Amino acid sequence: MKVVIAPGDVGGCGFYRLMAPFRALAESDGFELSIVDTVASPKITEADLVVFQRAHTDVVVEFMEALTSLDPTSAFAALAERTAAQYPEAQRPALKQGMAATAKALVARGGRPIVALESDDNLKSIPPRSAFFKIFGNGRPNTQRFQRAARAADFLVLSTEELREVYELDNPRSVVCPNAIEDKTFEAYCARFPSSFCESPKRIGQVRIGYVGSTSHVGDVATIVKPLQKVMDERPRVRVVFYGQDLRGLFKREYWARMDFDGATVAKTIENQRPSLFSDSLMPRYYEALANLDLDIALAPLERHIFNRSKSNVKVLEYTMAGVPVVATKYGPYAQYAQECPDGIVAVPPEDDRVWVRSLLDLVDHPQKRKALVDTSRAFIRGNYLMSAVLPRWRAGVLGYAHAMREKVAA
Amino acid sequence: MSIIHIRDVDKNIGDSIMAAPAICAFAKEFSDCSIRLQMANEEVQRLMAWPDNVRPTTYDPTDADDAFEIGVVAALGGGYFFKDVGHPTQQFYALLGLDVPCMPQQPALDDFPVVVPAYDYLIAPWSKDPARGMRVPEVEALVDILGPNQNRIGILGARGDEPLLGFDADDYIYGETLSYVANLMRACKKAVITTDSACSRLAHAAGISNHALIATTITPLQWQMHPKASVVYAAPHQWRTRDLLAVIEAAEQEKIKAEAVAA
Repeated sequence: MKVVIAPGDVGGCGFYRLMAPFRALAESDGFELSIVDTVASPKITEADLVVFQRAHTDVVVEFMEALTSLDPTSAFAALAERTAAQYPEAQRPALKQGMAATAKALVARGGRPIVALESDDNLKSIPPRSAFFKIFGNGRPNTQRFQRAARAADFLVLSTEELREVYELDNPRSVVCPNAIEDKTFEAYCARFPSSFCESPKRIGQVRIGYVGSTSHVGDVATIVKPLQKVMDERPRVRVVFYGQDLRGLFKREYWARMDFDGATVAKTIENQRPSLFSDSLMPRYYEALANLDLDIALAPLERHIFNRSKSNVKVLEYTMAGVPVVATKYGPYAQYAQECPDGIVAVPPEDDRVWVRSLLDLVDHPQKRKALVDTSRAFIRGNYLMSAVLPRWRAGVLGYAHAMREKVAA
Repeated sequence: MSIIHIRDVDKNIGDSIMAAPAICAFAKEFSDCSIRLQMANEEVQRLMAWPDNVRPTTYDPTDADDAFEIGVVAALGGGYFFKDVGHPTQQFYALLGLDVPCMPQQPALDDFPVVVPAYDYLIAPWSKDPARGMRVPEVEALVDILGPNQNRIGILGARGDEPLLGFDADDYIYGETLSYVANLMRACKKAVITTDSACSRLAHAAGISNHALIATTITPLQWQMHPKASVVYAAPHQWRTRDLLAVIEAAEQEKIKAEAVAA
């Protein structure tokens, strides 16, 4: 069997949703895996299964449509005509030739690859405060393209059950495969950052409460600004640390001296050593940066929004791997995590500032509780959210569906 | 006999201590000359054991135009900065035109025999530069971790330095003479913990092996450390608890090893 994956980025999505699970599957099941970053790759036409991610350009969407059409020869010819118009005249013959070659290759093999599309976000409902709101959202061109791609795909690979509902009208054929941490990485971090580090504050004279997240989480952090300010009032040793996006601007200026933004150095490193799609070097560096923030308490706030209902719990997995106890909003993925592992996370009802303050102060004052949370959560993750634990679901879901679809397509 | 006049303009204790080994080496190099020495910090001048041909005199910046003036600013930045020279003591060697030793030499203290209490830990947390010194909550956290009930802990400082909440006043050693503090350091049972400050330089001069140095990234590490120190090096006020404890333990182990070898 030949499988091709086309990751959308070199960060978390590309890694957790395609590179890590498919590499693990290829290793255990012994199939040939290729990673591509262009639809022009001949590997796609040779593959048995192609998994796309982030189909946000017309070329990719139309390529997927042509690939899954009943008559690929005429579909690729039409696609060549349409897309050629966008290119300089000198390049048009080559483009047409390429598309014709793709169609010819498909006819020659007497079939086509099964095409899957991966998504781990509800792109139809981006929160207004997210940096991606202007790019995605219901009715916006990028979302429409994604919906077209979802309809063209043979099936969808999704990260949560909630996403299945979100995309059901676009494509009712979907499999849910959860995010997971690679076993070796998890155990290496557990060994390097044992829970005993939680027994006293990790940096002398401070208790570091931190949030790690990309530019799409302003609304989430905004929900806990008041409780965090209150905690800083109550405990002079508390410092608030942000990594990924500098969110100090959400707080009153008088608190800024007690807040750190630790992302600039790492961003510069990443800029200088931009990894290629064919390596996953960004995630190890991210894990390392997270663990070296020396957080004593990690935050996972979520604003009540339909987008957040269908998110995954991967942030809790990462924090726990780094040996940091988590206080999260009891909503969406974290409510579920709290249900599955009640003693491994502190889950606070949404918008309940007083409980946020109480929970944080309790952890600030009791290092033993921080240690106990990490121990419990790590034990739970070992059984449920390591790659070895979720791989059967990926195998049964993605490969199982691909086999079933192949028979159907052949018939 | 020729007279060479050297004037050290540094008033800071640490800077003056670091100049001393180079002045001693210079005096030995010119053993047929008399070295007339004026140090701006007269306590340090009294503290050091000088070669016989050094004549310490009262500091007077208006005295003798022929004096060769030295100071840490000139040593570090005055065109004498060789690539392989790091510690200010080595810089002073270069400034005085001497061969630069591969390690910063230990300043030699005169003997001032006095009976001093033996603390388990001595902490010198303060510095004139707030970025290099510790803050009160950091010192309190460190004292907490070291276990004030099981260990006798002394806090070293200058007169007027900050007190700590709930700390026994008898164990503040503020404003004592340098010779007394040097003797305290030698008598310390477990570890002498200092920031990059005068006490750090004094610990080097006292020749103790159990020195844990809390250094900061605001200056190069080689400017701050000395060969016998166990060092934690981090951005100001970002010292990891586990690193700090490891360094303190390393310092304790150095003392145990040194005593075992001596026995």
